[in-house]
Amino acid sequence: MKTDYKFWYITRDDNGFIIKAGIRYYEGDITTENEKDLRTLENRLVTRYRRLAKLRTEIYTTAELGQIKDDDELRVFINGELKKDKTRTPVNEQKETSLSVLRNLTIK
Amino acid sequence: MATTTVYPDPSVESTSVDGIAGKDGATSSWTDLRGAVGDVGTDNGASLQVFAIATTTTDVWSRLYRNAVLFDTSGIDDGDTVSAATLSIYPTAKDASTITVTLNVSASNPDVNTVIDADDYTTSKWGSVKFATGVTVADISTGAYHVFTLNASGIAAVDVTGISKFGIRYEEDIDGNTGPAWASGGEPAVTFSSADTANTTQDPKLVVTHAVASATFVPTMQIIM
Repeated sequence: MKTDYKFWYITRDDNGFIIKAGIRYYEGDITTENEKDLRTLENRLVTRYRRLAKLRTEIYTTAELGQIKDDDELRVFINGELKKDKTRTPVNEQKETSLSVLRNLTIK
Repeated sequence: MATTTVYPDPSVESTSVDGIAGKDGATSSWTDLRGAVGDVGTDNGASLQVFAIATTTTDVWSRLYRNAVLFDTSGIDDGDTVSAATLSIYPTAKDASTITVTLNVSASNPDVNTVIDADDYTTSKWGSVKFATGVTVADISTGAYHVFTLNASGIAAVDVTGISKFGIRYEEDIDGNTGPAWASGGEPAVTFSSADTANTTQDPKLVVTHAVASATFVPTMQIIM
């Protein structure tokens, strides 16, 4: 089984520092299922990661995050949290825990 | 001033959702297409789409998609005042077609905050006020966020105690006064990433600028004898 997270919300103070971040964690898997093509409305098989269940919601503050400003710094922190789950594997997009590497991967 | 960036829930939803409600297979005027009973609904695909199809018969239309994008903004402190907001989508593909239409933001009000289905196409569940300056399909760029700066009506739709409900639609659907100029077989469309897309870099997002409401200062005078 795989795991991933999604941002719920990120609050920044006057200076742009992240002071609160709501994160939802999920488990899921890469599956092949019929999906309706939005244009043709015909079913087609699509293989992709699908979330099967929400695991938990965490609200992080500066106590856990420290002084960080941008989304990539937050991603690195949460990718590290994902890694702590020994029963599931993080999705490929959320495995990186090096900020410099992640910044090169992130679509701007 | 603090800013809070909020994202819709992917499937499996907790408190919010994004999805498409649409009508397909119609053979009707633009007005009747808008007022039809919906038969397309999805909230777990990796993409959302604003879409209209003109048939080859003059002024006859067959399809219209509306997109509901809901944000759980309850993470903002109750009582904070909202001074500005933007809503951003990440277009991945478009068909400018031969029909000129303009993308904009409105209110939405689906039956359930965590599900979008065909029943949500009903016109009464969508606002008729434009919340931003629109962008034509021809002018919108793919591969980067498009930012709609919300006007006063859009800012007023931000609910810091609950769910803020928006729609991504064609202006010609929002105001409903006149449809777009028909052109045979035109299929204007904008596809953008949903919350169900992989990772966290392309989801729809609402950025809210807010501050603690200032307390009213009432000076008092005491005479001590």
